[in-house]
Amino acid sequence: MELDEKALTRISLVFAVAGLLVLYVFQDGYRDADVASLPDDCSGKVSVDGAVKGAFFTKTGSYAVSLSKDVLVLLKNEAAFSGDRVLVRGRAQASGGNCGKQASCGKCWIFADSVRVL
Amino acid sequence: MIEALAGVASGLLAGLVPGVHVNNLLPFTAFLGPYFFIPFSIAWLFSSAFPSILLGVPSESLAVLPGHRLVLAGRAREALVLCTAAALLSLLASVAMLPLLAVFLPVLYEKSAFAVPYLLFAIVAAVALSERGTKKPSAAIVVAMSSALGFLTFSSDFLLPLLSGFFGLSTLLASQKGAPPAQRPMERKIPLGPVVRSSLLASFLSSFFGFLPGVSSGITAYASRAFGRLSTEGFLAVASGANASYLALSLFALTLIGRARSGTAAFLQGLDIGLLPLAGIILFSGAVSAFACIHATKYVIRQYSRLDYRKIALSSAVFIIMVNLLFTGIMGLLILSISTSIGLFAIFSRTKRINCMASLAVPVAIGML
Repeated sequence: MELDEKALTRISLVFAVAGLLVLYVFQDGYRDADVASLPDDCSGKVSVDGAVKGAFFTKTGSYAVSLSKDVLVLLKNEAAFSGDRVLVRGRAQASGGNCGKQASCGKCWIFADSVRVL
Repeated sequence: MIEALAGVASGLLAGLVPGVHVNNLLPFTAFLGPYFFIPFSIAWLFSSAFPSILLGVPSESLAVLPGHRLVLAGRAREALVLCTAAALLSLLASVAMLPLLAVFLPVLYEKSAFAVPYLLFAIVAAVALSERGTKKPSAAIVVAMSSALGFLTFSSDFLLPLLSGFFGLSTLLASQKGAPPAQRPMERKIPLGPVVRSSLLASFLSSFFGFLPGVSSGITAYASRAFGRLSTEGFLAVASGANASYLALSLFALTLIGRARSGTAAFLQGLDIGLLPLAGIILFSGAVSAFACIHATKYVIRQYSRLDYRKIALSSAVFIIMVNLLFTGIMGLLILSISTSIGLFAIFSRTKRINCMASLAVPVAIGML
């Protein structure tokens, strides 16, 4: 059976829309959060858009950046530097009460799954 | 030198495989270092014109129609020499612009950053609205679906399946054309004036559009229409020159503004090789590639006419799927299937596939607001 261009156009459109719906359903469930509200609501998978204020190495040698004085991002292999605007997706977790005198005490850490420099 | 020559030789061979973009191959070559993979990318750029023009399998959507027109007229050799000359001249022009770019680009980029998102919206809208009347709704659908896919994949590293589907796999699946028809020997010399003009136009426009995020070289060929109606040859030269300029300028942009605007530039990140050595590699690779391509034109046309195109297209399609599975997993395959469907919709509805550029431009623009 030969399909004409009109039929092929419709079929590809149906496939594209169905694929987008499947992708939407299987999306990973990151919630949009802003940097200011994260210290009070530091949990779950978050998507944050912010400017990098500074970069540093943690005690274990991992590379991290700060989005504010209370929101820090632990990177995996990505490169982001002071002044970059980044979109970070990852798991937010408040550093616990037993952190002693560490600089990270009381901060909201985001363990990044992905970082995109905008 | 040996590394660069090896890079050029492998890039030239890789470019002859239809439907496979250099970004699909870079993961396999990047470990050999910048003195290999930069010449590889540049040589690929030159030789990929052969399958694009001769087999009807474009790697960049805008370059295909004028090229096919010349092939159907038996002027394939002329088309290929024209593409090669335009690409080389555009590389030269891009390198010549380097001192100006080095002085002005970082300042201009910083001062005009606020306008970038609006510019991106304007470009996406202008391309979609440039479609003829009945195709406008189809273009709007392509922009909407591409943008949606871009948003869903924006924060993850899924550029490979996105671009492979829009411009690679969809083309291979849709292409029904076989080997090129019989070709005439080159009857006339390529007029140098129009090629130089087109190449300079391509470099000039690329120096403007090339530094915008999410905008491909196809936009340069499209924008060249604003400078007057171009002949088939002129348009082909601009499209080919824009591809070359984009690659060169994206490599310079990495050093000047710290932003990677091409797959090759992304692999160069973190490897500081300096602007002058970079310009040297670009010119050397371009000159060797152009020399090889011009001398191989007749032979390659003859070989392509003997090939079983469908088998090659099938092998290329399998290769693209395997590369995507290897580097992006099952999720990558899902994205590849969606971007392929959108690419096919654009092809069958006869709208420009450059509208798929919205998948990068729209999420980037909204992210920058």
